[in-house]
Amino acid sequence: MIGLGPYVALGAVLFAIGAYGALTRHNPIAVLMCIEMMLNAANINFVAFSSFGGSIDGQIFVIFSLVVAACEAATGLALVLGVYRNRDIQEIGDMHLLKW
Amino acid sequence: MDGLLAVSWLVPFLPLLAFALLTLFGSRLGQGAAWLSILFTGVAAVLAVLLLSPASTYLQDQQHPYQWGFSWLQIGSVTVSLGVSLTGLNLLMLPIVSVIALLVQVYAVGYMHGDARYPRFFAYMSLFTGSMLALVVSPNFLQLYIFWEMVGLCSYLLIGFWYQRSQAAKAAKKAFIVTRIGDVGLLVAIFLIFAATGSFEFSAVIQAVQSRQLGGGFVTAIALLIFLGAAGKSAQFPLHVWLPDAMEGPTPVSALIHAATMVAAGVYLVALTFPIFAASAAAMQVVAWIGAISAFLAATIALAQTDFKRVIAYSTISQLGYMMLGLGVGSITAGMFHLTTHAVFKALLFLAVGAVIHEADTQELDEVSGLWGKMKITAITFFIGALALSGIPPFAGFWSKDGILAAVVSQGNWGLAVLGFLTVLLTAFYIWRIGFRLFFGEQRAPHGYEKVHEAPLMMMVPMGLLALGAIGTGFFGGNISRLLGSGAVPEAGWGVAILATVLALVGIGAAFLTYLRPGFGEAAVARLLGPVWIAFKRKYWIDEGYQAGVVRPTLALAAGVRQADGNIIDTAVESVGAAPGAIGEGVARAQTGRAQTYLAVGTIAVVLLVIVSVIGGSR
Amino acid sequence: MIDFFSQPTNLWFVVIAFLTLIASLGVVAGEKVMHLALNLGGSFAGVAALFVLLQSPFLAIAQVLIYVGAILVMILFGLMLTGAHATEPTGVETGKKVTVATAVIVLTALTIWGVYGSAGRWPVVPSGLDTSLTALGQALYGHWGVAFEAASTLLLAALVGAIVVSRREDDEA
Repeated sequence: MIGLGPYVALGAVLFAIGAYGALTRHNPIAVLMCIEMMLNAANINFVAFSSFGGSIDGQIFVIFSLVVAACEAATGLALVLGVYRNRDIQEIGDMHLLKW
Repeated sequence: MDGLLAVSWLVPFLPLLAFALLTLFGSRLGQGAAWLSILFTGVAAVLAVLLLSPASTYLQDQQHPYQWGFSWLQIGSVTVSLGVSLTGLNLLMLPIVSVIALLVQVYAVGYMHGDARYPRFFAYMSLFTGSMLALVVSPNFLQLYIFWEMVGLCSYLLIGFWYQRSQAAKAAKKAFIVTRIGDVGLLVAIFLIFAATGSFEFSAVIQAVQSRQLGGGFVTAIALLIFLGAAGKSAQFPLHVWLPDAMEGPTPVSALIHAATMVAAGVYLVALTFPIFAASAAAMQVVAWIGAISAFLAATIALAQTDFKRVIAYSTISQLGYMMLGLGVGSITAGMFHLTTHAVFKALLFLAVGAVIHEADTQELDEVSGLWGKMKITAITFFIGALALSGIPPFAGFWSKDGILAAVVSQGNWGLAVLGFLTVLLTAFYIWRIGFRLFFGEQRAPHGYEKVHEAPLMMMVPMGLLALGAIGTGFFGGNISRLLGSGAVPEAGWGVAILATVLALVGIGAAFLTYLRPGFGEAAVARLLGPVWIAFKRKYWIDEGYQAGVVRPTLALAAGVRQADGNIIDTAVESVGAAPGAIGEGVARAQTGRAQTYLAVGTIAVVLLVIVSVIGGSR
Repeated sequence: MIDFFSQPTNLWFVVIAFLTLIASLGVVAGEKVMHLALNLGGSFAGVAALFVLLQSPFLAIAQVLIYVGAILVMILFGLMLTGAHATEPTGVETGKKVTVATAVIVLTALTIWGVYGSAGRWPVVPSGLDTSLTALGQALYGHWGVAFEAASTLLLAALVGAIVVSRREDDEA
């Protein structure tokens, strides 16, 4: 029987991969995907701690996390679409109007 | 009887109300503005006269003045009140101020006719009248100071009434600044008094002085500081320089403010705080000597001026000097008696020359003469005023001036007496010089002699009334001394009376010989006196002295400080601002607007924090 | 080591974890964005399988339904609307990539070090928690009722916001 450790380690690796992608990808939708992956990594941790720790709260939290992920995907995609339509931007690096 | 006393506060209040109304609605009233102002001032004047009898009865019965007031400020345990106090001194000033204000306002209806800012003029006149009346009824130093500054403000506004003329604007500023120097003295004196006695009330302060609670040097300092304020207001040497320039204002202003009332406020202040002066022999000496020197110097300067309005201004300084002299030798009665008669005959003289200025449109003696044929009534009123000023019996000035001279002689200070008697001679000479040159000799006027005629009736009526006053007020010395309760008018004695009268007649005779005898004119006098005459004419170079000794160094200092401010302080302050600005410029470059960059920085920061905490935790 | 793989659950874990990581690396390293989305689907499915291993079947189903069924489909729509053939540039910003990679590797290494540094204190046996639908439902609508309502409001607001943002300007007239 494997313990809690491998799950947490896997979550950490998945999170690191997602973070790397979120910071280096150029397509805004790809960045959104990577953020979803980071959320997933967190979810693994929640479920693992819940399963090994004996509290159902972690499972509940995953459900809320799903809600947030759905919200984020909906609004994020709407924003990306809006930017694409109005300014014809496909490069996240070109979205830099909000500065000095 | 008491009912009338209870409404005594209306006397200053009514003109102030008129000012408020004129400020709000003056432009709509037009010519009616004058009548509103006159109506309110008139009611105040009638009230002031009617108050005399009940208030003095109250004063005698109760042995303390009628007081009315309300609490205005509560500072710690000290209550400052605004209100009315009817002492003998105040009761004397109220009718003088209000009646002369009334007459001058009536006169101004004619004089200011057609001026573009006619309602404004009467608004200022009302403000002045109200402030002056509130000043003289003040029961405490604070109210006195407030209205002291208000009359100063009115003086400034009215001197500069024709501010389009740069001369008038400059004169207004000069008057304001020079009197301010004196006012600082008064203010410091009030501070000292409050610090020492904890009260602003005159009665409390005077009681503290009389019961010798305060040190002798302290009392002298307070007295001299108060006198500094009084000398600024009353244009005494060496703060007299503003008054001649103040003649740039309209002549009714000169008559009311700069002859009869406001400039007398300094004398009034000294009389009011007389117990403080009486407690210090040194302060009394200063008052007497400054008064005598002012009287003499101003009279000599008046001899040589060619602007006849300025001559009368110097005459005012000289006469105020007499009043100070009278107070300085210890006789309030003599000083205040002279204040009363002077208010009447000097207002008269101003109104008379005002009529000439109004008709001939010049103030230069060299440009106008021989007006007797055209302005007989004006000339007669002027000569009545001149007789009163010279001190020829039975005109008003004779009685009051002899009272002062008698007080000086009885004190036995011969230096003061000599100055006093010499000034009598000079006074007679300079005023008759004006009279003879204006009304006799060659018939000419700048815009044609034929165009000159008598001033309008509105101007003649106040002049006539004041002329009657200039004849009659001299006989009220007894009433005034009873009202003040400060001793009788000093007995002149035949010697003093005859000497003064003879000196005055000599002065008149000399003026007659100089100006009405062919072949002996002013040029001859100038040749005779040589450099002395030039000193008179140039007013002893006092203005130039102030210019070189005070004004220029002050301006130079100000310019230097301004340079320092601009170069050193501004640079320092701007650098303090510029440094964060530059840092911000640099740091702002990091703000790329790219979300990924921010996230990357955040991630790296988290990693570093974790490393640090792991290292810290493992220790 | 033998002992580790002798358990079927452990073997499954290794397989699923391996596949999940491969799919995830595909999301990060791929060039065509359409391929990225497909790899993401694999990653989501792998995580769902892990939930099954952790005896949370309901969450596994929810994961598949919401992530694969809803979010991934939405992302695919987004990709198609913004140019499905877009590719990621390669071989650019190497310095940045190296820096970020170093940072995340260090972070992961520290986490794993932390996990195994304290492994002795961590439970190795599942607690046998009741994760039935009944238990979840009672917790969600009972103790967490208010939070549930707040979450549903948030979802509603997000969807309304998404509609407002993505509406065409000329529709407003």
